[in-house]
Amino acid sequence: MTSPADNQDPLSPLKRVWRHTRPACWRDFARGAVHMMPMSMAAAPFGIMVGVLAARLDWGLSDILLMSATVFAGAAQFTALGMWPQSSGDAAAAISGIIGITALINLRHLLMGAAIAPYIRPLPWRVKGAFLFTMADENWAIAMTAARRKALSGAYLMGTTLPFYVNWLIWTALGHILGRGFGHPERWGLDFIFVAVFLTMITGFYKAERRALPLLASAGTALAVHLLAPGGWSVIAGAVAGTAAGVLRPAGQDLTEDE
Amino acid sequence: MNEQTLIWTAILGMALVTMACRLGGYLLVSRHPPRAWVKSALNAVPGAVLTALITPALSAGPAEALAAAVTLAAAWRLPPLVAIAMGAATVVLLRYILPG
Repeated sequence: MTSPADNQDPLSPLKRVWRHTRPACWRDFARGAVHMMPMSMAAAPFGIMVGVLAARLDWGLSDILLMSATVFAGAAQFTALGMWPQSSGDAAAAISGIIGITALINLRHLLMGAAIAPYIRPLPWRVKGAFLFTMADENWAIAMTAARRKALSGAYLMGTTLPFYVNWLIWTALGHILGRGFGHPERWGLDFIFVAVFLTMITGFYKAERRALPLLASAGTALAVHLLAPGGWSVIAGAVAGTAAGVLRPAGQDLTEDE
Repeated sequence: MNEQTLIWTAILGMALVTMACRLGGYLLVSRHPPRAWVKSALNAVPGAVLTALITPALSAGPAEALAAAVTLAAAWRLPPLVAIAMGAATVVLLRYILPG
């Protein structure tokens, strides 16, 4: 705090802060939040379904909120709930599998963090730390787009991140409350929603990548392993096979060479 | 291990590996961009994982397989939420019609 002796008007630093810094900050924050609004709305159905799945596994509301708050990764959370062991017999192996798959799914964040590093490097750690901790495909894409136009401000970055983070917590909580209400999920096709959500996500990945080989390699391997040795191993085998197939066509190769 | 311990262990492990990936890219960013083949493989990861995850469920029966085809066709043109609803509606209908 500045002592009154430093200044004629004891309130002038505050006024200066209010008149200049705060409104500018809030404007940037609001801009980021507005740019993220469609993404936040798009995340709602996925958040609800994560909550529904957790409720069906008899997780408590605090459990799924803890997961959404600390993991904060839709695809990984879906996968973990989908792989959750039915019996406690091989629980330890199943949990290791879940953590391994989570690492595999989120490996792309390494690339995303590396790509955005030059733009967020000048910002203070409390800002870029908060951003990196909550970095998802959506806020990363919006921040990258904004960064290419002009220097990222910390307030803008937080605007793309904080409301989106709270948004995810709200929808998963709501999904959990809804999930408690459904008695027989199969009757409403709710068990298939999990599959349907992933099918729409896979369609999205295919549209972005235009590569069928990793998907086919993954599906073929997963099916073979599932038929030969039922259990969680088909997920890991399929994921590894699909990733390995992904090496075959380097990114940035001419798209005319497709098919 | 009881169920609650399992849940906490899974969440803790998932949070740690995810955090490592999120911070790692920024911290380990070198002057050289990753090799093309590494990038290419990493880009294939999300699709490969999700495909492997749902494949066993698709082989559960004809209702699931057909509903999956409907969902894929719908997702090609329609918003995800509509495609998901159509897939779920198809599976409900087919389970009602088909025996077993």
